[in-house]
Amino acid sequence: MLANVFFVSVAALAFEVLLARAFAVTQWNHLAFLVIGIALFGFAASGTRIALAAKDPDARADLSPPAVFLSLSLLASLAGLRFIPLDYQRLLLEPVQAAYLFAACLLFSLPFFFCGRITASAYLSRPEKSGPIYAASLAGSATGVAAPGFFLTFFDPGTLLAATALLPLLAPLSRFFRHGSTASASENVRLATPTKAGAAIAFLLTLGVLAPGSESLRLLPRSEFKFLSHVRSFPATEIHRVAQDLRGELDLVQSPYLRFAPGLSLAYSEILPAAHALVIDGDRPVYLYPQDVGTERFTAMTLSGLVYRLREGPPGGVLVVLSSGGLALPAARAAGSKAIQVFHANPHVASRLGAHYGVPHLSGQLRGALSSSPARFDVIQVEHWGASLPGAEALDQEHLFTREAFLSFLERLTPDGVLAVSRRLRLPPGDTLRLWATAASALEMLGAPSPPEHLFVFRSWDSVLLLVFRRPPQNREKLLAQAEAQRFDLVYARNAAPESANRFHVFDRPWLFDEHRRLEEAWEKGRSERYFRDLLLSAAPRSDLQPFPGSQLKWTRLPELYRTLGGRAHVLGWAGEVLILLCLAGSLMAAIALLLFPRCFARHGELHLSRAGVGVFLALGGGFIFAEIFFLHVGVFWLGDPGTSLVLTLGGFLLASSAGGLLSGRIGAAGLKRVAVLAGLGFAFPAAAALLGLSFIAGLGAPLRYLFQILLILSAGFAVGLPFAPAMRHFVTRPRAKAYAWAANGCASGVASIAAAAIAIEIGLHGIAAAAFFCYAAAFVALACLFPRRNPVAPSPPDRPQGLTP
Amino acid sequence: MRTPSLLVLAFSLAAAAGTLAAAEESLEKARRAMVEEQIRARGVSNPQVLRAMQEVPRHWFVPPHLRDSAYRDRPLPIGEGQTISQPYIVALMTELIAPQPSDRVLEIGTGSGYQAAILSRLVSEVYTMEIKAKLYQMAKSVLEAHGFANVSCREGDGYFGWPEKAPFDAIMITAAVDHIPPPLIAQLKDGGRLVLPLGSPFGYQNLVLVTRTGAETTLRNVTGVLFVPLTGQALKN
Repeated sequence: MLANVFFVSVAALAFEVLLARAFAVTQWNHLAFLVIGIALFGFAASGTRIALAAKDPDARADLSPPAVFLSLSLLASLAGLRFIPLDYQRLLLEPVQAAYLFAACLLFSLPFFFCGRITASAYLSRPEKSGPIYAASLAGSATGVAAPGFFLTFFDPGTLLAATALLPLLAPLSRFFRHGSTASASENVRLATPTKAGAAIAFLLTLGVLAPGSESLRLLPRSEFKFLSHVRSFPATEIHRVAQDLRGELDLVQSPYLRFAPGLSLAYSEILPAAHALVIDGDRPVYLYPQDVGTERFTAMTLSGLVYRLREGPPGGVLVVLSSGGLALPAARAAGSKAIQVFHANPHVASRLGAHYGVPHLSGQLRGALSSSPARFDVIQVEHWGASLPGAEALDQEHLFTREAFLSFLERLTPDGVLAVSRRLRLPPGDTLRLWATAASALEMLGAPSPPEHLFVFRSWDSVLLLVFRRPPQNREKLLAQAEAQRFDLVYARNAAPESANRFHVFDRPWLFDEHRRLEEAWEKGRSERYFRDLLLSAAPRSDLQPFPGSQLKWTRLPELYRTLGGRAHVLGWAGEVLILLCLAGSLMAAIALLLFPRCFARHGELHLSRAGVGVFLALGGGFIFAEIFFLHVGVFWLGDPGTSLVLTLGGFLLASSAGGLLSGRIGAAGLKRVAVLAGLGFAFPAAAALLGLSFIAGLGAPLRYLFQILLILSAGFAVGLPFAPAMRHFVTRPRAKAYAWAANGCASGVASIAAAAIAIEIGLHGIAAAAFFCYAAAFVALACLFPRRNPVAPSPPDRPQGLTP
Repeated sequence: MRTPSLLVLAFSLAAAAGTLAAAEESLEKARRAMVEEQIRARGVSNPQVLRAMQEVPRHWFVPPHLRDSAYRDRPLPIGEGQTISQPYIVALMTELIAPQPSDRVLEIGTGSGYQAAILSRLVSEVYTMEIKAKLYQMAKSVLEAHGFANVSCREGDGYFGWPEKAPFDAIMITAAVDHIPPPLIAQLKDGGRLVLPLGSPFGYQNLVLVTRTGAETTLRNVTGVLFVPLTGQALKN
């Protein structure tokens, strides 16, 4: 039984991590939040199933059949990833995609369902062994989280998913060869023939999928709308895998059809230089240009290259911060800079960029990466063109465009230095307004008396360039003349005449120029808050606490926005905020169904759980996941990578909360309310430390950032792991009620995992922390309702199903 | 027994024909509604363009499983990571190039072939290029099957245009691009128009119209009703 619990826990958690990776490969990593929800609802459904079962879990119950089903469901999930033609981009265009999504979610929740079923059955049928079961589950889960982090360097997610299907079979298969003396009653039961057959089929299927020559069965198909899918269909295109790990799959694309030139001047009449591209998970290409005269002429005619044409001589130090694109590096080289550094979050991309252009590179988390160097730069150029997924940027946790990020950039500039930000032009105007205001805020924090004098914005027909000078530039007229010579339009310069705008890429009216003027006016009169409140889109500057600068939807202005977009609902539908709202609605419906079914269909009186009791488990489930996801977001910032943060936070939380759960064995019924308070405060203190030190810690070196993340996760995880086990032990006695409590806990967790994404975008990370704290406060109130007096609870009845013999 | 069998066969054929006719009628009704509610109501007023949009059945150009959605106010996926544009976008782009009966028009990115089919009703010659072999084959066969004789299709890279047939009165780029290919500008006649969409294929935010006058090119961002900036008066309110 213990081996069974261990291996299924390894398999389920490994599947969760691999599914997040698989979504990043096949769809977009923005959908990772769905994976946590799917897992938790799978676990919740197992509780519902047991609560609805005809009889209580039996100590002699054989856990092998569900283990075999778990193995088969893992293979089915791989098949689902491979063959269900789910494509998030087509969701709003093809009604059948909603059915595919539903089917996929249902299919991917099955492994968690069977894992939950086995673990819950083990707990309920053998309560006297709950310690070893807990330890086996913990060790398995931690292994399951950590293992993909290691193996993804060597194998693709499809292969690992197939291999994962072998794990649940290890315990049942070992019984093929055992006779007689085993430790547990259940293991003395001989494997039933159907179970043997199922195990053999699952085993052979897995071997078949893993066999050489079956690569196509393990190959996860990418959305046809991803960049890599497009270029793959071009002739004479070669794609080489150059690296893979937890952070993503990196491919090098060589094709004569790679042509990237946003913001190319209309005055440019030559052929573009040939380029290669590095692509992470099939999207967000980074282009590598040849270092020749042709590239120099080309980059000099792009909007990104404008920043280098302001100076008399070549710039000194240049820091290029790349998220996608790649024009800034050759532009800096073409300008003659001899001290260029390049940053990309992915270390493989950063090192390839560095090697290609012969410049030092930085990777990981930008502010931390810069902490070890006292370097000052004449130019810091941020190039960020976004993903090809419309609306996805609303879901991007991005710390490059926050007030604190701009401040740190400005502090790294020489006195005459300039920060340049290259972005796509987005309409209605909102993105550039936010950039402008963020820069102005950072300048104000730096003590600039008149921030607008430091700011310039130019555009072509599809891209914008924001320039933020450390001090107002002396060569303003030269800058304006240069932009005019290259036919770039002025969007903002202090006191610029309206006639100087909207000249080359002509709008019906100078919408962008007018709007920036209005923002400037509001800023100078101290009315910027009101300006942003009245604006159709959310465009106020974002801080590190709410690092979703791509989110611009205001729910209160939805009807106006709909009209503004030409009455086209499908355009609005791709907004990340809308996606989350739809997922939240779906998760609420699933939770209600999973909780109502046992209430309606379980045998009368079997559940034995009052509303307040259900409330306790709902609150504990919600609180735990809010707490976990809060630290997940903190980790994304501090560690600089969502995959690393997922593994570290999930693993750390599991370890620490399990330790809390084990220690809570001594807590009596009278201590339940205190434990709820302890959990709330035990989370609140590390969370407050993380919030207060968020930006400061981000600027420390990697060892310190990891140390803080681990310490805070362990302390918060330990605290939030305390209340669940004693609550389960002391006021839920019957196995069926325990299963229902398990389901309630899982449902709340599932809903919270989606709600956390919405809260992060709409309120910020502190909102998630507040939600977690609120949940523990609610758990305390529910416990106070259950146990109003000081020491009300009689010694709990034996934690064992009634009428069963061990 | 022979007569009843023939009668059953005749009855079945008549029923099938009736069903087909009813389906055709329903699609034509949807097309009329599309033109009136999605296109004319949004300000496209060129009568020739409206007539072409009314005459060319859009459902010929969408995948069979999406035929019922052919006249809805949205783009539709056609495979290979491409879409057939929202009907309004097709009409607006067509109106923007101000098509004349004697014009020769180059389209870059054939896709489904629908845009080329619309153009074929309005100009004398349409040249259309598609780099993706699968899409090229599909579009070519649909265009040929339905007798769009003045459309010439070519499989290949549209970036360099179709020099053998240049110059063109108008060029339409219906593929997503991040810059205007210089070779295409060179293949425009004096006074020629080039139009391309800006933004995501799932919700273009505006169109870009490039006009060549001698060696000079002017560029206009046409917002239409794709987005109506609610600034100024609306904000003050």
